[in-house]
Order: sequence, then C-alpha cells, then structure tokens
Amino acid sequence: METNFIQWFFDFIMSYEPKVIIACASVIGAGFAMITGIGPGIGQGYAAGKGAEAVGNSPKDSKSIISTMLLGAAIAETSGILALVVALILLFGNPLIGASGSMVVIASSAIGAGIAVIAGMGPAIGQGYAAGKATEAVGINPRSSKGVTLVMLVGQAVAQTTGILALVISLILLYGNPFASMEGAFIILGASALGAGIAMVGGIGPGIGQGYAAGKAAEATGKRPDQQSNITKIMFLGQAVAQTTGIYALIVSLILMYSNPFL
Amino acid sequence: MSGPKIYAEVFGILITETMVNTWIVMGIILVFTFFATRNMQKVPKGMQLVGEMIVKAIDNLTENTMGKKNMGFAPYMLTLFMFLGIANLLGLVALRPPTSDLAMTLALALLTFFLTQFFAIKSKGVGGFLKGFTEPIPLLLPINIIGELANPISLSFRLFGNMLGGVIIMTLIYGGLTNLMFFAGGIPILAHLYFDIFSGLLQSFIFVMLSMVFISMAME
Repeated sequence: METNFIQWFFDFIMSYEPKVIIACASVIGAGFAMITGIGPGIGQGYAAGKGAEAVGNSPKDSKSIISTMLLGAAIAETSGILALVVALILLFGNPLIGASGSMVVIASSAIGAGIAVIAGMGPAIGQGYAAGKATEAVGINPRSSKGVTLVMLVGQAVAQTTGILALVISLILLYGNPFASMEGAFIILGASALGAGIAMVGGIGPGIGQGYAAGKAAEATGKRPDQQSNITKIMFLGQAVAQTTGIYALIVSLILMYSNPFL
Repeated sequence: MSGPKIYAEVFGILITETMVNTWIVMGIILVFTFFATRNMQKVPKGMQLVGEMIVKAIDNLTENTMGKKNMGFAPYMLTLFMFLGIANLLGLVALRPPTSDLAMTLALALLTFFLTQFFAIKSKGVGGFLKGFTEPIPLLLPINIIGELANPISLSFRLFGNMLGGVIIMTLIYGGLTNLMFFAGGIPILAHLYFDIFSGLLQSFIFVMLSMVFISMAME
C-alpha cells in the first residue's frame, strides 16, 4: 500500500471548515505560548532560594532582602505575562479567525505566534538569576541595596530584549501577517510562518546569558558600591555582545517574512 | 478586546483615546507644577515639598547613573518620568493608559534614540561615531547597526507590551467578574495593585533608567 502521509494529512485538514482549523491552530498556539511559564518558574525559584538563604544568614535584614527579592522576581514574571497575553489574544480576541488568505498559512501563523513567545523562557530564567544574586548581595551588604537594585533592574531590563523581539514577531504574525497576502505555494508560506516563529525561540540563549551578566554585576556592586557606574558599563557591553545571536534570530525571522528566498 | 477608540476626525487627523488621555496627563502635570510653584517658601511645605522631593530624587538618580557632567539631562528625565508615571496610573481611574498604544511608546523611544545618536555624534565626531559601528571587527557592521535599531524597538515594546498586557487582563477580569459578584471586591484591587501601580511605576522607572544608560553610554 502506497501512502503519502503529507498528502493524506492535508486532505484530512481540508475536509474541515477553514474556521475550525484556524481555531484549532490557535488553541495549539496558545498552548505553546504557555510553555514560557517554565522560565519564570525556574528563575523565581532560584531567587526565592537565594532569598531564604540570605534571610537565614542575616535575619535582621530580612526586610530589605525580601523587598529586593520580590522586586527582582516580579520582573522575572514579565515574560510569563507577555506569553499569557499572546495566549489570551489567541483564545479570546483572535484576529486570524476570519482573516482572508490560505487556511494553512493562517493556521501556521497562529501556531508560529504561540511558539515565538517561548523565547521569553530565557529572559525569565536570566532575570530570576539576577534577582537571586542581587538578593544575596543585599543580604551580605545591606547598605549597598540601592545600587544593587539599580544594577539588577537595568540588567534585567536588557535581558528582556530578546523576549520583546519575540513578542514583536508574534504580534506581526497575528496582526500584520505578510504571508496572508503573499503569492506562492501555500505549503511554503505556511512553513515560513511557522519557521518565523520557531526562529525566535533562539532568544532563550541571550536572555539567560544577559541575566547571568546582570546577576554577576549586581553581586559585584554589592561588594564595591563605589564602582557602580563602571560595573554597569562592563555589564552593558557584555550584554550587547551576548545579544548578537538573538539579533540573528530576528534577522532570519524577518527574512522569512519579508524577503523569503523560496518564493 | 479593542484598540484605542477614535473619537473624532479634525482636518484628517484622528482624535484617539490615546491623544485625549495624553491631554489629561498633561493637564494633571500642568496643574501640579502650577500649584507646586505658587508662593514658594524657603522652607518648603505642602505641594512645594512634594515637588522638591521629586526633583531631588531624579537629580540624584541622574548623577549616579550618568555622572556629574551630564546633569543637564535631569530635566528631560524628570519630564519623562512624570509623564510615564502618571500615564501608567490612569488605569486606576478606568481610563486607558496612553502608553498601551504603540504610537505613544514608539514616539518616546524614538526621542531617546535620536538623543542617543545626536550626543554620540556630538561627543565623538561623525568619524568616531561611524567607526563605533565597525568595532570590535568590521565584519560585525550589519549586526551593530541592527543591534542599535533594536534598542528603540525593545524600549517601546517593553512599555507597550506590559501596559497593553495589563489592559487586556483587567478587561478580562472585569468581564469575567460580572458572573461572580461575590468576589468582585477583592480580585480587581489586587490586579490593579500589580498591573497599574507596581508594573506601571516600575516600567516608567525602567524606561527612564534605560534612556539614561543609552545616552551616557553613547557619549563615552
């Protein structure tokens, strides 16, 4: 018996209403988006662990330790919230349902939009690490808490970058999808939409790395609060270099969207 | 879920919810600064005291982050912080924060972006500015350029994403709560506390901090 699985799969899909398939794809995309939750889980767990350790070592400073930990952990939550927003858009305010264009392309875009925000896992882990290190530094030297918190916040904000770029790609796939109006084989267009989302997952790496840099910078500020501006500068330079692969991911994703070589 | 409402069209310009709410924020800031600077006393009290505390705090922050020689940026940073802080808190009074509109956050991020480029050229000269893109090796030129352009994108979307996320989640909570009158008191308060007050003020602060760091790094 000779069977062509891909042919069979598309025949099977085509036997349903386009709206049903797009709704199915959106639900799958929303599920993918929430995988991001792994990141805040790990990151905030680390921060909480460091917080418990710091309070154990110096119980009298528990107030400043806990406030640093909560602030840092709340930032590590950002990616989770952004992913939740994408999932909620896919579930409740889906702009793709009713969009014109090939059903396979629209459905792939919905899944791609969900997969893209998984990148937020990286920033969340990195930011959690930074929050943990800052908490530790405040526990050791409570008088440095202001400088440590500032360095942590700036470092975490930079570590968020790849997560935000992924959100941008996800929103483009949802609201300004260039594939819907493109000419070409629907299977290439659909695969490209999926690929544009998958490429952004590369942002996990820079997010973790930049968060590590932020954590170490916060630790260093705790030891030498007078060197805060120098430490911030070095951290920033290192983070900018660590950003590079995240930018590669963005470039590949944008090429797939706007100057696809296969079309 | 819908975007900002469009109220009217004047000479082809759409008057959106974002613009009207921006005017409200401007009004609040104008009224505050007007009354805070009436009958100024040597020993401040009342609104003058609040005003002086805010100015002092931003002055200190600018000095710590950008150095003493860049204190001239403090008024800009103060303006940015006051505007963003009040704009992000509008959700508390059931108004849509203007910062949940990408047009608004992108405009502010572009201000920072052009300030960064301008002061980079001013302090390093055109040659030094262009040479900065070929470091550490010339091969990285395209990456450096895209990396530079990614800054205003991430700056604007960080604020936009957080605020819009808050708006969407609050709308869903209020929509869902109409069926759950019993809990209607507590849940929105906690959500407002997190999404409007905490997240709103924190994102304003981060926007201002990153603007400071971008500009002062470009001048090194």
